Amino acid sequence: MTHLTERVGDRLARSAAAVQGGLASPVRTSRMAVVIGRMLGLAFLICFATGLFSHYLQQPLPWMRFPTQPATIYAWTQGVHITVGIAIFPLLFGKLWTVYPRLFTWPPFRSPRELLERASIAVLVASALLEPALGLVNTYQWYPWPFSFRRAHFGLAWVIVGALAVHIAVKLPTIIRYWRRRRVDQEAADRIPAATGSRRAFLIGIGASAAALVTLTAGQSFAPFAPTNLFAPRVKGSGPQSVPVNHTAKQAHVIEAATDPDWALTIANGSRERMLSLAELRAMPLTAAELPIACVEGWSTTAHWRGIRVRDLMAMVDARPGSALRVTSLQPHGNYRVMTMGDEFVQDPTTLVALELNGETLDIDHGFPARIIAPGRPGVLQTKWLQSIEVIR
Amino acid sequence: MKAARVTLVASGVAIAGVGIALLLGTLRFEQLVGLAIWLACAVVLHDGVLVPVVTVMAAVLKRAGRALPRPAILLIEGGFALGMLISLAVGPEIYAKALGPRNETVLPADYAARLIAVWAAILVLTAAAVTLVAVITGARTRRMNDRRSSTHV
Repeated sequence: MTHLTERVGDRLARSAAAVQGGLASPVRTSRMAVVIGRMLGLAFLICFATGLFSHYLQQPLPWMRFPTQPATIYAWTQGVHITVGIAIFPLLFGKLWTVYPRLFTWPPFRSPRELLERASIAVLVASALLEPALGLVNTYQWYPWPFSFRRAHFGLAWVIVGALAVHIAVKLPTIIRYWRRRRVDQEAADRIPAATGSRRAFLIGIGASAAALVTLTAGQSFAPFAPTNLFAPRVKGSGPQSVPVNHTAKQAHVIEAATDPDWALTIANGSRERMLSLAELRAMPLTAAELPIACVEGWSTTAHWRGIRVRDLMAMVDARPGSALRVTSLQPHGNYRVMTMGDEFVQDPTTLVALELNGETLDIDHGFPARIIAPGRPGVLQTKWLQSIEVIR
Repeated sequence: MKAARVTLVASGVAIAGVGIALLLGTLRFEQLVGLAIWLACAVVLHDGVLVPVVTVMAAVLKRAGRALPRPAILLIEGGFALGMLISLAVGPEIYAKALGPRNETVLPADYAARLIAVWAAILVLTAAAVTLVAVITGARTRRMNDRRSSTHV
């Protein structure tokens, strides 16, 4: 029996060595893995940082405060998140291509340490492949998976960064050895005839692919790329009043409530409460602001808004500066029916209860009769079809 | 280096632990099973389908293009890889569009037609570049042959 398992083991080891030999190529070197790996690592860290910013803007911890200016900060960070996330695909495929023969290492591990190491690689590879794919398909507003996108994407992000740190620790000697060009992977280069491939062409190919994907999609987030936006799921400046829509009035079941002639906005501070009709709101001094609608899905469009400053409105019910607000929409259901606004956004002079968009009365799909527009916040927090604004602390 | 490695492993395990705790704490059991299946499928599709297919295609191309100069083969490989990559990203988009977007500002374009146009552009550009390479290498070979024959005379 031992004899048999030994023979099988030997045969497997020989087959694995043969497969690895057959897959050998001049681009499959440690130096190449380091060159692509550090770009990929940077890309994941950028996505992690911008992702955390987006996550905590939506679910802040009690002590958190956020910058309100520049007003485009979230349009930028989330545009970077999605664009870099798309550029991860060629980097990731390139990185995995260079290390693919290692998949066939036999025996798969020789010690508990090697087992842990390979397990961490398996976790890293699986998460790193799935995470950007989930993100991309989410921007198409298609959710074919049986779990919450937001929770899975957030959890996997931490798993990737953690597994990446472990991977860097394990590979640190190799990374240091091959960080600079003069330390060429001579051994591998000698073993394989140069004619079977070209390292430079491989790197140029990866760079060109990343550049092409960015050029064809970044136009939804960054105006200079708008003319070459062939494949992004959104187009800057499209939609009613030249601003795209995520949730229409019909989908939110608000058409009746929003077009009710008796509609009035309730503002409240404890027992002090006021109801303001649309005519009363329109009679107040209106402030103009250039602010973007910037979505978690990466698209953004800057528009011209006019409305009443939220801080002026709340002064009418004697709200103290430093108050946080609860804003409620007319929509009967939905995760974003109720929104909380921290005092830094309340106090910003460009945070408005908007009545007009790009020179016209708000379209019903943009939140008629009144909506919130604040600088530097995700679109889901720019509550539409307002019902009430209350001081909560 | 040892201190750096220990710090990296410790912080890595802690950060990944946060991620696993978040997943376990926020997803229901059947959702976790679903996530595990999707993770496994990602690896199987990449390691078991995508890479073997590309490997075989590259080998076929190499054999078919033996007569071509080396840079021409690299250009064809690059163009093909670029087209495949864009198709992988746009494929789900075409499907999502077919399912019916939520409103007319979501997925507004005909992405299938655009993908075909991009493949055509890649084809034309690659063919032009390959022709250029063939002409240049042909001229260089002729020049070298001419020089060789003139020195022999």
